[in-house]
Amino acid sequence: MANRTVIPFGPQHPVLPEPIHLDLVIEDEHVVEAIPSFGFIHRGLEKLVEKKDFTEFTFIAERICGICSYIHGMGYCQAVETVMGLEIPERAKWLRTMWSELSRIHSHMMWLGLLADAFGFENLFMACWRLREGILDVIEETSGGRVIFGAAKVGGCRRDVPDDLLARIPAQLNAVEDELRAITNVFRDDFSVRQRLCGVGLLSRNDAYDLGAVGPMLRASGVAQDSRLDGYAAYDKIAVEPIVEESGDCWGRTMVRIREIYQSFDILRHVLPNVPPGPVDMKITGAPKGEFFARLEQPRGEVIYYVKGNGTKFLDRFRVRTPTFANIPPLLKMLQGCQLADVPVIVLTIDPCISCAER
Amino acid sequence: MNAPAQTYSEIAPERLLEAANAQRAAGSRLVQICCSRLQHFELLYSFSRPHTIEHLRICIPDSRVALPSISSIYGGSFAYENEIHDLYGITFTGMNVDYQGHFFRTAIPAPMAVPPVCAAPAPKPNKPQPQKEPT
Amino acid sequence: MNLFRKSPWIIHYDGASCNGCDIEVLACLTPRYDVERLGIINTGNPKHADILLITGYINEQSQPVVRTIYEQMPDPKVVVAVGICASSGGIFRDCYNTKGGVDSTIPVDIYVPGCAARPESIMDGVVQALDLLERKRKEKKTRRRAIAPTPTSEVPTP
Ligand code: SF4
Repeated sequence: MANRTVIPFGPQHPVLPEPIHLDLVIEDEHVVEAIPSFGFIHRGLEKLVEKKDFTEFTFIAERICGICSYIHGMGYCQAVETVMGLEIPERAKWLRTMWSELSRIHSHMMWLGLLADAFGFENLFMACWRLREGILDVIEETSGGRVIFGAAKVGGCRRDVPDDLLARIPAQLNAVEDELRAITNVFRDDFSVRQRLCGVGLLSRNDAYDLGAVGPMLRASGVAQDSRLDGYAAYDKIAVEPIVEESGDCWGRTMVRIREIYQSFDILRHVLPNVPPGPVDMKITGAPKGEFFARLEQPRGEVIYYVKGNGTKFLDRFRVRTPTFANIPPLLKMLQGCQLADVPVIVLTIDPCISCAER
Repeated sequence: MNAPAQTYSEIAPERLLEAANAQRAAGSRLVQICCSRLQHFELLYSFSRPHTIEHLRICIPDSRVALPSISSIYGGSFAYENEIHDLYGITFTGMNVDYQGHFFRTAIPAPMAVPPVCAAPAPKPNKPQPQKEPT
Repeated sequence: MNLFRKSPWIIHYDGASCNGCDIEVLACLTPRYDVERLGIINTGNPKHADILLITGYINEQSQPVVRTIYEQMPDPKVVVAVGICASSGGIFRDCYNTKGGVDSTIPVDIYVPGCAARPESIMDGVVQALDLLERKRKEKKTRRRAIAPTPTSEVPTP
């Protein structure tokens, strides 16, 4: 029997922009066990709810994570609105849908780039990130910010988007989509990409379900679960079909994300011409009293916001269960028995967002 | 909206394992475990099936009360249980993976276990009380 | 020694940020902004680096890491704090797990504002860092010259 060696992975690892720390117990190039430890980015922002009032807290919710920032802010607002019994204007709902789909596209494109970087395809990384700027341009035009754009607000949206701008966006999106096809074809057809992804990091359907995997992880293992089917914001008026792959490996997860990008383009093409006229926000009076769990779909999977108000401006409790946190048990499961060289790719296919997971 | 119905029910700590087993038998997925520090500690276990989310509420008077771990039923629950142990200082017995307090490394131990100070920064005296406005 | 001015290498460390600034730092390296055209290379090794870009505030866990990276970097070096978090602790200042901005741990030369800092302002910060680096290098040289004569003048006396 070979000796066991413990190899630390992180906190500074070239494939990940963020500090994640795993202790890998290795036996002959095979990982026997992976032990994570957190706390590099733990801020304890859930406790800040006692110091900032519930409208101010939207900004903090947006800074749980800078990649899926908008959906965090929107989810928090949605939870507070439900507790307060507010029905936000129709236009605000459609605009929220638009921004969350734009966020999904930009997050997935970013992830594709990072994945390419993880298996050493520098060129593809640059290509993905160059195209992603096209989406960021649209976000910037509509909201004024690039990654954290503060468009969410309790009671609606902070900004309105002029109709002529809305009419212009589809052309911009189409241009990005056309270029994107060339890139995703590389992921789909390239021999060396397949070599690195197929059959790596297998997660069976049962394991995925039992260990509580969410989002593309769960869907790549063949479970059709998508929180957008719950019909928050304007999703009740849009047909969303969960994208499912059966293979359960890194390849399957890549394909789910690629197909989701195109699905988001389709959703946007449906949303943009249909944004109804009207106001985008409403006056809020009073303070939240009661509790509610809001469930939304982020690029990384299902996210849960829990809000408990006591009738004052300061909430009792805010909690967010982020998709990365739910995906940690399945990740540890996948890492058992894999090869050391595959660890970066496997870690990356859960699309880890450490600042989400640690809050 | 075809949002799933959410139900809350309160159960005694001793009945937790039994309730988790029942959820498992019904084919539910563990969505999350959330702990809140009010005057007591309150834990919410959420389970979901298509079209329903059930929340089981457990109240314990202080953090010295140990709770049984449900990780033998839901293998993924250890992440939540370790998190609650590190942030709130509640002990879970029988976790399948126990990090002994090294899951979240924080500057101060059990930082979230201090009772909320919400009540302290009372609304400023020159502002109207928010509750009065809706009337 | 003009070589130095032309190709400074940077190392990026993520203290404890929300990611917003990190992805903007990465975006600087990609084709739209492309700091590599200024000869800048992002390296992972602190001993190769001249400029340290830090995003996010400092906490108990990252403090020793940041200090080690800083000490490992060769002189002269410049530290750039990217984003409000790194400058002062920003929106998370009141959290129980924060220690404050980067300057609570190591000396910071340039502060880049913004939450998230835009790629343009990050690049501006880096370009300012280049000038500062040049100045520091010259200072070091003159200091060395000023110090150098004393021992040599002492040596012949005995
Ligand atoms: S400055 Fe803002 S965007 Fe940057 S890390 Fe801090 S919170 Fe995130």
